[in-house]
Amino acid sequence: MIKRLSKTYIKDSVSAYVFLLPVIIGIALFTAYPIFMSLFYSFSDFNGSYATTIHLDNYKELFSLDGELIPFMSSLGKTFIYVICSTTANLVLSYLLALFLRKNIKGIRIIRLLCYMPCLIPGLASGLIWRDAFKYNAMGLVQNYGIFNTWFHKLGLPAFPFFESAQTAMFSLILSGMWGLGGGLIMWLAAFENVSPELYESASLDGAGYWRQVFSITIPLTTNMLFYNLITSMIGGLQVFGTFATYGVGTDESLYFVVIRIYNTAFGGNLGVNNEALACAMSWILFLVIGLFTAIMFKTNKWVKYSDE
Amino acid sequence: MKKFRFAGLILAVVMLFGLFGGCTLRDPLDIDAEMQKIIDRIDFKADSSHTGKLRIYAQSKPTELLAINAFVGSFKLKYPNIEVDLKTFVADSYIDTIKKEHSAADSSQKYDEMADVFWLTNETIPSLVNMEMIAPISYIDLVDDSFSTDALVDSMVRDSMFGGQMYMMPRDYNQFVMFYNKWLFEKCGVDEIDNVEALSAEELEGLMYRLHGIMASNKFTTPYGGNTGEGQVIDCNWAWGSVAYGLYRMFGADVVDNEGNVIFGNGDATYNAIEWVKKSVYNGYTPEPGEQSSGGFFTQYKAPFLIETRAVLTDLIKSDSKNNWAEHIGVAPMPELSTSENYSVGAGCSGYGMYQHVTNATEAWLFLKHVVSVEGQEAFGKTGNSVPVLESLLEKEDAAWRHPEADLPDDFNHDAFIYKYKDKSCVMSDFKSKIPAKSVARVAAVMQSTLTSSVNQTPATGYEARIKKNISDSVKTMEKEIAKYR
Repeated sequence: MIKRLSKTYIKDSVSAYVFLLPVIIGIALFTAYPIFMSLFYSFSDFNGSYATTIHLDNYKELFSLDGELIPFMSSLGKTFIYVICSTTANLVLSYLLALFLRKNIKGIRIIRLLCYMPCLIPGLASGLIWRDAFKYNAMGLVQNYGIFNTWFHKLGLPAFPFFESAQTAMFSLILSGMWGLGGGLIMWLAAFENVSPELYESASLDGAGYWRQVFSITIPLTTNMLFYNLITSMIGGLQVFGTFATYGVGTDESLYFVVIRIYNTAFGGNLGVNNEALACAMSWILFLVIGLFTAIMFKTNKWVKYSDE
Repeated sequence: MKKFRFAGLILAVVMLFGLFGGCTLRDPLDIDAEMQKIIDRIDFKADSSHTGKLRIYAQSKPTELLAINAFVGSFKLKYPNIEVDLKTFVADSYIDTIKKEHSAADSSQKYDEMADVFWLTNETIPSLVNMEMIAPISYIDLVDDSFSTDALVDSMVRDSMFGGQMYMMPRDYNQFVMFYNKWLFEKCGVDEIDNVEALSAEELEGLMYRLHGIMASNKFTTPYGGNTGEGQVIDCNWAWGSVAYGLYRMFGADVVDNEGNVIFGNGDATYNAIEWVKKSVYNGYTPEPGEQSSGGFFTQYKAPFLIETRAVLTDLIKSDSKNNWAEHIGVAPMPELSTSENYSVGAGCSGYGMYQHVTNATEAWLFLKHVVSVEGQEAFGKTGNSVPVLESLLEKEDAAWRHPEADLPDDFNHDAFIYKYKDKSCVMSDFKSKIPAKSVARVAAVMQSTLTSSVNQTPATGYEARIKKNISDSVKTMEKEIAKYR
């Protein structure tokens, strides 16, 4: 078979592969190789420099009640809560916003631009802004409050702990995530453009009201985009890491998401003995979890309508 | 599908390359044998005519450059035929960067591309040892008759050790002091403090109350904008490990006893330490632990006091671009926060370590010895940022560190930096050395976070039960962590 490949196929396609070679090498060296090595390291005692033995200790540690099972599952649980809540809130609110902003009223372009503008601010910068805006002081020191608690104080309302309490940190993070609704908005507006105007005209002639049209035309015909957003939000959400730079692991580890735990296990710093091999094992478990949920979503996507159906 | 066969073939080849190239397993180093090899390569009779090369890694931040240039400059004077190659890295990613360099050198077995000597701190030693990056220099110390650590400040030697071995040559002695701003004292109409003896807890409390009241009510405009009403009395990063440990010790608390049993929650000592910070924060005397890196309020003339070490002195002086700190800065010993009997000062140091796979062994050892030599210590002392680790220079009146190049007021009390250093200074290694090496980082982190969470996340009143629960939870975590590796 190799002989046949070399004589016919490669000869015909050699110029194409010459052009493709840089990309193939790039992917092999910087994507495939690290993925493969991380799998290898997860079965070893790799210390960031070398490995001495191959064993299953990292996976045993990860599934041991006295080991990392509880902390890891705790992080996984927090990550799932974040994914479910933030994805739901973002999809629903960005959809509603898009429904409103698709109307061709005067100045709509400016409003759309304003809604999208927060997405242009880097995540770290916006995170710092929200952290300051939500600042709270458990001792009631008003001078240490952020802008929201200062308003609450002036209105005679009790201060809200936002990120300073384990009970409210997740809510605060999801709330601050609304800042990025503009990203989803753009996608929904693009999806709406693909819905044929004739359908609305027909429905209108048949006496369907606005919400009837939304539920019977708009939503069904944008389920492909909804499915895409669900998949990417789930995968992106399960790998959430950007919060670490701004909020760390949160009060009482309330924002200790699974990728942050992987990072801290591997590189957690200069202060401790890092465990790169265990972190690799964690990464592979996370990969399997993501793969499993992605597969489930694809297996249950009968509700998605594509334009060619 | 056939179209992908060639690409798949290439991928498979690369992956196989990875399998056979990168996955090579190897045994851990036999440190005894490795150290013997290094010792065999060191020329212990090398003198100033010795010819060779030396590569050093250090951080690129100004104070570190000042330090390493002082050491390298004086080293070159002593050994003119040794060519020194100094490579610096961004401070924030320094340790990560040199770890990566080591990983690369280890994979390719090209150890000569790594440094022979590099800067490090006590906190970084465990992870560097785990990667077999630093050599236990106590092996070399044992066979070199011309050198002994007995001449060094004992607490700094302890701070340079890990698992019973010395990995770092300490370059200075840093204990916490209280810098003060004379300009603010004058504005507030408060007499300068006695900078010879440590303030008692009562004196400090009275002073904080008085200064805070005057600063808040008069709102003096500072040279950098804003006013003193926005400030604090004591600028300090309480979340800093050495500060937090010193604070606990000041109230008679400790992390473990001599047998390594956790005593963090015994009695009320830990609670009292935390409560002192909490009350001070509530009264507006000091920032919340971890709120910001220390120095911000002080350098902006919004805090009359700053708890810091000598290592930042030139940074403090340079930070005042509009005035002359030489006229305004004073220094006093770390005040008492509790009783005189419990008085304790947090201390620590950084230093230089030798690469485990050192290429230029003789030159590296000569340099490490030079760091703690009179010449090296005097050169570093001139920069203004150093208190010598060489004990003979600490109280010597004409030692360079007492007469630095930096402008300082005539009454600048250098003795504050060595106040009761022999019997009252404490280093985190005091407890780290008593627990399993792998539990050190986590236990230290729990000790620090107990303070932060207890102060920052509890209400202004009715906090006692919550703080005590925090302490109790921390004790359980520490015990679990220590038991895991014992």
